[in-house]
Amino acid sequence: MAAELLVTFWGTRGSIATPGRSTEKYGGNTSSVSIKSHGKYFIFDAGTGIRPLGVEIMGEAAIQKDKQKELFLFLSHTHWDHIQGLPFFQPAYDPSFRLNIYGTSNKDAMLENILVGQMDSSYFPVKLSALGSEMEFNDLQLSDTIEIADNKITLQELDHPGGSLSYKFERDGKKIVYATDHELDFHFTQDGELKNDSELGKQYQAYIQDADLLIADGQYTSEEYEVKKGWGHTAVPTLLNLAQKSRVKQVAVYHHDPMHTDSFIDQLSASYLKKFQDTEPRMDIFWAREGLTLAI
Amino acid sequence: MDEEQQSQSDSRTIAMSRTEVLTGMSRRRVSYLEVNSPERPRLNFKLTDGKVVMGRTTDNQITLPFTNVSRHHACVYINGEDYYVEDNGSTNGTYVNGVKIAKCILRPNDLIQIGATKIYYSEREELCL
Repeated sequence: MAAELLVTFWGTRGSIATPGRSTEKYGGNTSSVSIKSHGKYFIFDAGTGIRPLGVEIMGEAAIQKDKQKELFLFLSHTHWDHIQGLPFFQPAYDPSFRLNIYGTSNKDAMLENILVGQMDSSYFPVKLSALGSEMEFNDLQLSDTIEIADNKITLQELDHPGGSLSYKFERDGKKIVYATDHELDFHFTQDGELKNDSELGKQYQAYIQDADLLIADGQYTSEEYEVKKGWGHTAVPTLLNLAQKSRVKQVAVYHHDPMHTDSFIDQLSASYLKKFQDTEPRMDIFWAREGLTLAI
Repeated sequence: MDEEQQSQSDSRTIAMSRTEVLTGMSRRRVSYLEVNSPERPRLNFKLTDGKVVMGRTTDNQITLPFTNVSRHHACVYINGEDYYVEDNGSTNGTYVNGVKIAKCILRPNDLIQIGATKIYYSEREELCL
């Protein structure tokens, strides 16, 4: 693979890991995506999908012994399905790695304290402080811009109980937006029209405008959303219609509901692909699946 | 009922040891590619541990002699328990179920498209004696 910007889905499921035959195709691991940019790994969320990513990174490290082993992990928020894989992320145990973790504090605790809490002896046998890698915790403000080599990451607040952050990754004119755990329906109609002059809605639309790839929460069907309002997730038509209006080039529907089997997602996908097949400008749509790598 | 009639209508459970039945028997998953190119006979290709390269030139394991296919367009290989398809930096891209991919784990009924060629991936379990 010659491309220098590779996006890989390691975990696509929302809420809880859902292993088994009925989720084999789209995957049962919870949220985790990597962008490999010119050899550097930028990781978005540490759901259970980060475990196989760790295995891959360790495999590469064994071959490329002299390479800098610095990883950049961006957490949208600290709900279980976005952090639960971290204690099983092999590079975190290896003293030759440096792990830079970015996220925001929630109302009650700093980012580091939350991650320490998940590895308290009541829940896990190894303390965070006992991990071998060098770790740095970065509590972000919304106005922050992170620049690492020629890669730029900016932030956008999302609407989710307890809060969530979106990250926009930019390099060489390419834009990839990672925006999960977001209730777009509070700010847009299912046709993608702004509701109530929402300021957050306006900011979000400007933020995703012209993205080459938008990886975004599309957990519910319209019918499911009606009974799950306020749970912090988006209905598929709202996501897709807004993306179309924002001239997004490719959308990965992400954070699949645990009840959605492979065959259900296949049917959902087929119905929306048909609806959007002749739209202008052209927008490619797919439901994210584990083990898929795209070159951007 | 004489002995012959008894034998014909016998529906009694046969005493059989599970250990005996399963001794020397194991299962393995076998994967296939079904290659459908325009105006060419269908090709069924059984995958093994080796890398299978698909492309325009005749040095590929699967030759796709069409102008919109790159010389060594894409490959299929096993990693752990899974087969992957990977694009080799081709000019016109490799697609899985309509999505342009750099690399993708293959699952049963996935459709790989290279130019006008459609390649279906399938799996079945075989008993090994």
